[in-house]
Amino acid sequence: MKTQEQVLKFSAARKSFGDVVALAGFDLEVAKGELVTLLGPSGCGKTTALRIAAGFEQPDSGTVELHGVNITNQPAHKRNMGMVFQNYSLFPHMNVNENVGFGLKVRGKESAEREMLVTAAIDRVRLNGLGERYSHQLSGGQQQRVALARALVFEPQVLLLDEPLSALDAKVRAELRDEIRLLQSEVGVATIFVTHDQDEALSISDRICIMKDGHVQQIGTPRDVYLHPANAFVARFVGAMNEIEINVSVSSIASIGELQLDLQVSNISGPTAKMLLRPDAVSICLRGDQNSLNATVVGQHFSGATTMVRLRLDHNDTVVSALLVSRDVTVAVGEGVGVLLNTREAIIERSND
Amino acid sequence: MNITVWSGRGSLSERAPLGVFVRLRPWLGVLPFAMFVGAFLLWPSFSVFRSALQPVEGSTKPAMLEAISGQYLGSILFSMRMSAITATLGMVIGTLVAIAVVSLDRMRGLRNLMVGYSAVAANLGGIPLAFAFVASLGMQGLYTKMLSVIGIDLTDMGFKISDFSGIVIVYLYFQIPLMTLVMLPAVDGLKSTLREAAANLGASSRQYWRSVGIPLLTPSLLGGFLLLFANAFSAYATAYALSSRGSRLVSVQIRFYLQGNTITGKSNLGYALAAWMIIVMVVAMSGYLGLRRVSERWRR
Amino acid sequence: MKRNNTWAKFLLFAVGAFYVLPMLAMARFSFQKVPVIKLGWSTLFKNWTIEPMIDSVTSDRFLEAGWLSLRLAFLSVLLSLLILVPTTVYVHVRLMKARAFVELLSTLPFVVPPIALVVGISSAMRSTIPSFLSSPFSLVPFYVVIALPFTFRSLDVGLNSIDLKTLVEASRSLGAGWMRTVSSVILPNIKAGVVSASFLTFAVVLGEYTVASLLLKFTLPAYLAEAQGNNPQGTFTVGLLLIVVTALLLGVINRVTRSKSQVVSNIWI
Repeated sequence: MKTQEQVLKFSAARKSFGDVVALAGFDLEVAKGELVTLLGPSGCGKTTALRIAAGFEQPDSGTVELHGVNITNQPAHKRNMGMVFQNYSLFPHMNVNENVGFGLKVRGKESAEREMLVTAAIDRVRLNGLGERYSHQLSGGQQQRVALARALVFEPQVLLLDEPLSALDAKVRAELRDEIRLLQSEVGVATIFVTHDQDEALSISDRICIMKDGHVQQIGTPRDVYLHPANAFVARFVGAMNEIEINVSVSSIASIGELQLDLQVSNISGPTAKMLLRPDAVSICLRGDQNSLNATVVGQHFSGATTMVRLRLDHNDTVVSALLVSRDVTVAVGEGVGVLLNTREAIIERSND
Repeated sequence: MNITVWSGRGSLSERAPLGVFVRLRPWLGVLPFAMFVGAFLLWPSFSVFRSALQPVEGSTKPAMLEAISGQYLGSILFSMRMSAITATLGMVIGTLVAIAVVSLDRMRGLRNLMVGYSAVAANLGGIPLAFAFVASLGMQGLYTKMLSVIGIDLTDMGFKISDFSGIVIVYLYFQIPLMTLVMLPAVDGLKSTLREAAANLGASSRQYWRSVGIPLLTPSLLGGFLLLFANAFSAYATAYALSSRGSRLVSVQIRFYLQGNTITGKSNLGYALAAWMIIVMVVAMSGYLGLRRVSERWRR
Repeated sequence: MKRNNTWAKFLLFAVGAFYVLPMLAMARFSFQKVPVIKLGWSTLFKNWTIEPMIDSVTSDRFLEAGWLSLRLAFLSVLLSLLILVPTTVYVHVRLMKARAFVELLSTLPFVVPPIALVVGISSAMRSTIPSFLSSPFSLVPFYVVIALPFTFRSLDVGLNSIDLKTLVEASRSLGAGWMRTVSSVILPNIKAGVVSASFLTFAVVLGEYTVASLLLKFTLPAYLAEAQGNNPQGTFTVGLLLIVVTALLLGVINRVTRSKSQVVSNIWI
């Protein structure tokens, strides 16, 4: 793994609004060219962290450093960062060229040089020829592209994106998401991306920082976060999860119904606990096969390449989902089958936590 | 053998002229309304112009041309000057009030109070308002007296509520709130995200106001000015109540040319002045409406 | 971003004082029988009385003018609604293309100042239909015209915010006849607009002076002009009363509509 140059660093940043702790002891480093996503439900502190980076909020304690220089108290307009807002925030009285050129104009670039850079930036976001248009003449996706061009044209040191896709409809969202990633890696700028949509986070990030109630839950690559969630919250938030009740005997043997599970449950006190298991860790076999549980197929959701099969376990009527490659699905609704659970990466949550 | 090929459309409109009437039939629904406005607004207005284009007795020029010459032009210009002054003052103060209200957005109650009263004050005028100011700053006014107690003698200073400056002050009572109401949506529209976007792109506070804030407010500022101008220009009752006889305002003067006597022979002049008033109003209001459309588009 | 807001508080206080002080002076003059010259700290609380007010509101002239104004107001509201409600509803349900046309006609009264309108009325109608003008109720259609920009806007804003055409179609498809559709679907949705249009018209009529006085009709504002000579204090109380009533009417509209874009220009000129 190559050592990346560290661009932005949060150290123990805290921020409260009145009684509410929006951000509690936030630590994060972003390297050059890296895209880090802050992911979490509303109120988790991701937007607060972003705004602290941008300079629109001041942390109560802790610092923000840019290339090693403490910028915590530096005013927003001196930070040389580019920001893209959820609602585009294009200047309505300026056309596309003027919007994109605004940052250059403020930095004192000459008109000829500005024109060149602006045209290049507009071309890069595939809006060639629309320079004379005004924001009310553009679609949502086009406006956001202008916002992107505007934020990148002056080569900022950090790119900040505040839920840039939330205001767009599904199809545009998917398109633009990939374009943003492409652009960002071409330009090679350190980027923080804030979103509550875990699909977005998983698909474009180098690393994801999952947050809840102001605290960081886990920082890791999308793979890490998905396959090795640090706790139950992360497990549930990222990707789908089955929740199955298991019994724990006095001698720490876990079981479901009759079936003994190959699980370490030494630190569980109660007689029951909850096991969280990914749908892709569940598979179907013949009823009565070894190590399987008896179940009935109650539904199927076909999504093209994959199919989610829903199964009701006989012994306690819990419904679990199995994600299978469509070609391998040969069962029909109502059929009795056997369910195999790959418990190697299961997470155990205490029942009454 | 005759083979007729029907095109897929065959719409009614192709069977003109009957088709035209069928298509226009729904418009009959707005006919009563149009006729009402025609009878009670357009007809009197055309009448004004019809009389205005006739000559005044003893002359061959149409009254409208007569009206903008010599002394009569003076009163039109006087009215315009008065309107421009109250509009400018109202524009500045009203805008500042709007900005003040929006900047104190944590004090919601204060904003609601100011907006609520502005909605009322913008509609006050006429005789009751004149009464209120006579009671305040007239010869026997409460505040005239209070000011004289602390040494400011208004009558010595030559101030009279019925004079130019007095009327300006009274007009401001409804001009300021009117401008406040016009500017509030515009100032609200300067969303904080635009300010943040500008700051993020490197603009300091001054650069923000120069490049973004003021340009965005300009259509509303100009439009508001025109609205206030039109408002003051067409005012009659307030001015009449304050200064009747001596007034040089067009609106009051029209009355004296048309005081029920068509015998004076100068009545066509009155109509001419009224006609010119309408023309000024059309220009001012068109400007206002056009500018309002621009600012609404930007606020979308 | 912290900004220093003391200038804002100071300005609002100053402007607020400007709004309130004249009303206070008017109230003092109306209710205190102490001439300004004699007013001082010792006489500040002397001689407050509602006698002049009683004199005024019980006088024949006031009752005559008040009764006329009231009737004119009610009739104007009725006529306004009678003409505008069917028209605006029709436009929104059947012929949206006509909306711009109706809006244009409704904005035209703005460009004809009342003084110009009244001289036009004289010129047009005095010779052709003099009997029409001799009735005091001839003011009603003109008041409807003067209030037109405001009443149209009130109704239109309300109708714009709902997709009336679709609602009507839904109602019809569910089997409702026209009468039922009107009463159950259309009317409830335009309630706020109707209320604010009515109150606005009412306020316009109560305060309108220009047209009434030049057509020699004796309405409340005309009473104010006439009576200030013999009973200034009483007359001022009536003036104050008019202001309070207007404020209440407009206050209710504010509550009902909560529309931020309700810019109403001076209706008493």
